[in-house]
Amino acid sequence: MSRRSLNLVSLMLFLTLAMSFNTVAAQEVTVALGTDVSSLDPRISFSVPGESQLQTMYETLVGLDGKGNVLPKLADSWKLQADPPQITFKLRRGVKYHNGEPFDAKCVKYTIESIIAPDSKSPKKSFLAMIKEVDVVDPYTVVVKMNSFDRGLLRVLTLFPVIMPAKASQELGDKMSTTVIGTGPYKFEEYRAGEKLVVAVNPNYWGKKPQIQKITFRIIPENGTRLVALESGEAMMINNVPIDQIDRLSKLTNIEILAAPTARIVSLGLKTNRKPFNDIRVRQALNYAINKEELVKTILGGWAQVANSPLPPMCFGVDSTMKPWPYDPKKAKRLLAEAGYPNGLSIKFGSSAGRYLQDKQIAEAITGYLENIGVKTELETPEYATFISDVMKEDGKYDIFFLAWGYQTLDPNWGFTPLYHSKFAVRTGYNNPQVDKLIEKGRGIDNEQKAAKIYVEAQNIIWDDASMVWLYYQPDIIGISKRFKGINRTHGNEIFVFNEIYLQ
Amino acid sequence: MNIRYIIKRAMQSVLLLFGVATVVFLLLRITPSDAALIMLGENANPEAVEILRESLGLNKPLYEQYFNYISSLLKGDWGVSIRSQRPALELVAERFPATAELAVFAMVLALLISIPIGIIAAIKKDSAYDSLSMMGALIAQSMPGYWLGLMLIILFAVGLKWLPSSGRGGWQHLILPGISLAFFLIGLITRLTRSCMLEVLQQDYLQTARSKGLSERVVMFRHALKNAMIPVITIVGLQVGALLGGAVVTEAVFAWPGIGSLAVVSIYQRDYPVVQAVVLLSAVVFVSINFLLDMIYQWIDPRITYASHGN
Repeated sequence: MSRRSLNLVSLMLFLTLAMSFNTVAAQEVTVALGTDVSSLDPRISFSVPGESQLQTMYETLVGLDGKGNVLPKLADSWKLQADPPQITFKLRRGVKYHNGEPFDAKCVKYTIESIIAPDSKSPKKSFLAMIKEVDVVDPYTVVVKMNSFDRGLLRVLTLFPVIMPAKASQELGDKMSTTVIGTGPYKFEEYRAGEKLVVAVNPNYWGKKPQIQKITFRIIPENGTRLVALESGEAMMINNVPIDQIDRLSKLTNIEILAAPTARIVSLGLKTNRKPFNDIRVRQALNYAINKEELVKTILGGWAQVANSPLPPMCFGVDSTMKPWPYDPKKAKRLLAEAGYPNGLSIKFGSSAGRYLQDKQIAEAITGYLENIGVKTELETPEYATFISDVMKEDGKYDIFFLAWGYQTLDPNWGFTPLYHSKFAVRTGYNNPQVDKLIEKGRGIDNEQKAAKIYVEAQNIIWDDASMVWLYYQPDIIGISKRFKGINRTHGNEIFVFNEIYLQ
Repeated sequence: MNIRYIIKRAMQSVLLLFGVATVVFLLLRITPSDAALIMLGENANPEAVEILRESLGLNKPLYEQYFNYISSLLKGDWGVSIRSQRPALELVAERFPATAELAVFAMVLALLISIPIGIIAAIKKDSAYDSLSMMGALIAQSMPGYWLGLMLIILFAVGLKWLPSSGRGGWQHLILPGISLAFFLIGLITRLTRSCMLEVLQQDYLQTARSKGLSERVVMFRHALKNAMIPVITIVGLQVGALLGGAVVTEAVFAWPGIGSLAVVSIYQRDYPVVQAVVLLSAVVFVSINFLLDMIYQWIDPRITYASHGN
């Protein structure tokens, strides 16, 4: 053989071998996500993309449908009582864990109590703090008792905890952080920390069996690399598509962009407990100073909705008659002058960079609007951990800061208590006794329709108080192969549901 | 071999590791924020953060944390990851093979390319070959790793579709990140080999060997090369040590699951025990390599002792 044809043959051999990595079996799918689970033990894991992965294998007692209503999952039905404050759940029968262990009331008791135990290190502990204890009445009836009535509990239970097998968890102990034994439509196959999680269909699932036999979740933190995985066909779905790539990607014939509004509201937190933002006129000025429509159009490609309420439209109790603060820089300047700043003022602005969609770019644009009304803004974008630690200080150095809050349970109280109740609002130091009372009242009302009236009142006061500068509701943008169908979202559209995906 | 020398070096190494452990411990503690805040982060209320902080032992006074840390290390306990509640050493050990695989591949590739080119460049000093290879080496050494990685991905994975774009798997997955990592090494080692070779080629003892009647080949390989390689081995050893600490940029671009990316995530989430474990393990590897190098020198040239080595 001549040298040249030998080289050609070698090259072809090489290419054939090289391409053998790319074969994909018919009913298997690879999804590339930007963040990993921090642990396979759902009591310890705290990342949102992580929840999407874990909830293919584990399930909660109750779920949320597309309209934000609570629906049965591992629990068939439930009864709320204000006095004594508790929820009684009737559990689904005939459900088995992946190892054959039966699902029953003991599992619910075990899971919840292991999270709220005094020595528990679970990051989810504080969100279940209203639970006193869990009683097993019979194998399929369980009573979750509260310290004092908190309507939010039922909706929190749609988010977590997922119910773990009592017997297996106690036997395996620490090993639950590297293995999964759940009740879900998929079961655990392989996990390599920071690299991938592989799940395979559970043939004994109690619900509708999924069509896709195997899902591989690959972790690719770099945006560019993750995008490439989609473009090259190595992944059929990716999360967190950068806005500036959308135009280019939509032109590709085999790829589609799916955007959905989330229940995450992006705003500027203001330190209202000190100058200059203790003056309502200065706060109002900022709300008038920013052209939110323009911001959303230029920086978010029009993919977000301008905020017209401190609550995202998906929450119950949202007042949809409210209008966004209009863009009125002249009025803003007038208000500043009235407040004693005719020649403007200087403030410090803190933002994360890369944690939220276009956060840094939005922050930079905002400084432009503020400079326009005479507010000299010094912007800092430290790495997230450093940023958040300053924000959480009552005397933190940032006068204003980027604040994105997700109302995943779709209950106003999920954000109202930590953000607007004076006892908990350390980020802003916001203190309005009227709002405090409404929040406390709303929490204790068991009927969501009745509670909605309270929240309508509260959100209007908060809004008129200009306690923050509300900007927009963040969109969630994923890129998928055109063959990839059936992806659902839940919980303010931040958690993905893979049960019904199929390939065309 | 000098036993006293070996013991002395071993004790110095232990002291050095102790210093590394202390420095990383302090550096982590003086940066703002902590794991509890990150874990609860956005939806946190300060009470919840305090409770979590307490249960994780982050509120203990600094000296107590330090004492626990060092005494645990001495017992072989490298701590528990805050983020995943798994032993830190287990996490590092899990991902170390990936880093080692990439490091070895990149280094072997680099050596196979650089050493011959450097030697020939030295022999053909001032020729066109010499200038071209040195220019190439300089470019290779100066190329920013992040950019190079992305370019390789765009060309070979997206454009030509010859290779996978990221992740670890079969040998195909090793090629792009390995080349990306090797570039800098190729640049460095080629230039180094050439200059070491040049220095040796000027030495009198080569002339002596020639006048003894030895063939040019023997002169080159047995005498010149052997001596030229000593500084090269030093640098290569140090580079291997550095690579085994995790090539952070390459691992990020290629989603390579090594200890570099583990360290980055752990730093962002203030997972102190894992960061400490990664740094300490890298230090152990580095110190061991250095130690090994010293032993190799002794073997190559028994005249080299600690004193005359000049370090």
